Amino acid sequence: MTAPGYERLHAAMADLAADVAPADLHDRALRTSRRLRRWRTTAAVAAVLVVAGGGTATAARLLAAAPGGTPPAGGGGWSGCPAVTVPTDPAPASSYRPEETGPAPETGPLFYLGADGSSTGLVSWTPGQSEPVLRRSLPVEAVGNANVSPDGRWVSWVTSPDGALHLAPLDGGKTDRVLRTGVDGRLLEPAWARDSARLLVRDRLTDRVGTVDITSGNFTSLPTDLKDARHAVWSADGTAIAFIAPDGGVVVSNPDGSGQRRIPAVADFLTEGRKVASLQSMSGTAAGDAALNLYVTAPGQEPDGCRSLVSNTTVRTGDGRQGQDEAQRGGRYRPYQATFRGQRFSHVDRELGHPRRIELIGDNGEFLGGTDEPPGLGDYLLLNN
Amino acid sequence: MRPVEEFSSFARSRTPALLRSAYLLTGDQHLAEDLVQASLARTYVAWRRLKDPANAEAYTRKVMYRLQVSSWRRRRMRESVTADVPEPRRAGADPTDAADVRIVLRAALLKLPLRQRAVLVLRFFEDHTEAEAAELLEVTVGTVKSQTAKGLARLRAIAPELADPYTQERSR
Repeated sequence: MTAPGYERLHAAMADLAADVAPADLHDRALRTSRRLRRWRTTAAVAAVLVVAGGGTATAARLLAAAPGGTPPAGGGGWSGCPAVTVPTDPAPASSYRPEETGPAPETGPLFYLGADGSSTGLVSWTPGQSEPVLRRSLPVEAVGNANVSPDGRWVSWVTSPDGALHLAPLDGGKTDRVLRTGVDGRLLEPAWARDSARLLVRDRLTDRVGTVDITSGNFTSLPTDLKDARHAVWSADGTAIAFIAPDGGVVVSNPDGSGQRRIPAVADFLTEGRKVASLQSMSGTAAGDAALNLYVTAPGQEPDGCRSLVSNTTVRTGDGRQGQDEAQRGGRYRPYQATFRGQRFSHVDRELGHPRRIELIGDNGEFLGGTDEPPGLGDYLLLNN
Repeated sequence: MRPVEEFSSFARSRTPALLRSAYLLTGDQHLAEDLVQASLARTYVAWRRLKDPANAEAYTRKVMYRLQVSSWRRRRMRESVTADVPEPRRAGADPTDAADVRIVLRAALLKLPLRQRAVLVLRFFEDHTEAEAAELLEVTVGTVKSQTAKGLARLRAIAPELADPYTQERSR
């Protein structure tokens, strides 16, 4: 009941509130929740880091030793997610040998993101090293949109309510700067161009997609707009952009937005009752084709933040056929993340079993080395950079 | 019903109401969507801890307001009190013009600091008591009282024709 004397204010507020347009935020909330799992380990590390004044070695030891960092039994699910049965149609081929061993893959540093309810931790780990290192503590909302530049020198993130695009160095500098405000951090997370000098963003004011120069902060619209594009990724060689269209299809375009074309196979996903939840990484396009790693839900499932991560696939952007590596492994959908590198199809492959496993795969699908991740990284998201 | 289905049902049925409050808090469609999205995401993460799904809306609203307060806390160093306020409504204008009232009220709310705005929305749109508002915002009842008084005073300065109902702050 409204306080006596304030009925008119109540009525005026109700009238104003009715101006808001309806929106279905269900899918968006679930997608955000996927990256908002309760990674308490990071919070503990971040707290220690603040107290210790930057003791990354201490933080790393805690990260490795902290309880709760072990992946959940059953493999693949984020902690708190319901048990997931990973689709295996068709049956895995005999050539798939997840236990394959070899030298530690020379991937360079890998970057991971984890958060609890109050902070987000950006950590790096190089295969062959025993412990990850906390590189930076970020605001909790950064978990939904933080990305690391391809050269590993910068991290970007967006904060609400003003859509401030932040940039911070990863070389130990503590201060960040706001490149500009009014940037969409929700549907089109700022995506680094391969030159590590620009970020692909949507400007909220003009609703245009373009690039922000990290030196000047200037925004330049793409000549051809990527209208309503969601969750875009650059190809590993910087010659193409892929994004999710409003109808759930996946579109590939040139870096200036021209030449937009749909990937045929994605239409098959949609007719099967699956949905593309997000894009992870796209290979180079030197061969006139590219491999795109994307998360696909199980039939009839919404992108609920759990299944969307473990039911993914890689398709070729030209005709939508499965990538060579995918075909070799025989599973159309399997729990892994692929982060493509270089000009062709070489990539870092993260098996989401128990324990998590990092493998380096060559251009022709050949195994170049593999090792288990430290258990503390079990619930962290591998970033594509 | 599985938890994710329960959450989906909740999110789809309550989003319109949550958006209305968020719109008053932010004054912007996109920002309101951001706020509700972030609040729903946290609710989903906590879903299993909510003993009764019926508590979900209260939990989501609490998260929503706390996110606003957090935002205020982060921004407070950059905020400054401005001497100028939106133009008062012109004399002689028809105060019953609903569209006009909406425009004035929206402009007035946007001129308020985030916490004053949150307090007014909690007290006079959602009809919470001072104690309930204090609990939601994690502040004292005294802070709610002072922020309410300041917020109403600024509203009066901006929209005189809406002032009459505000002239006496009453506690329930």
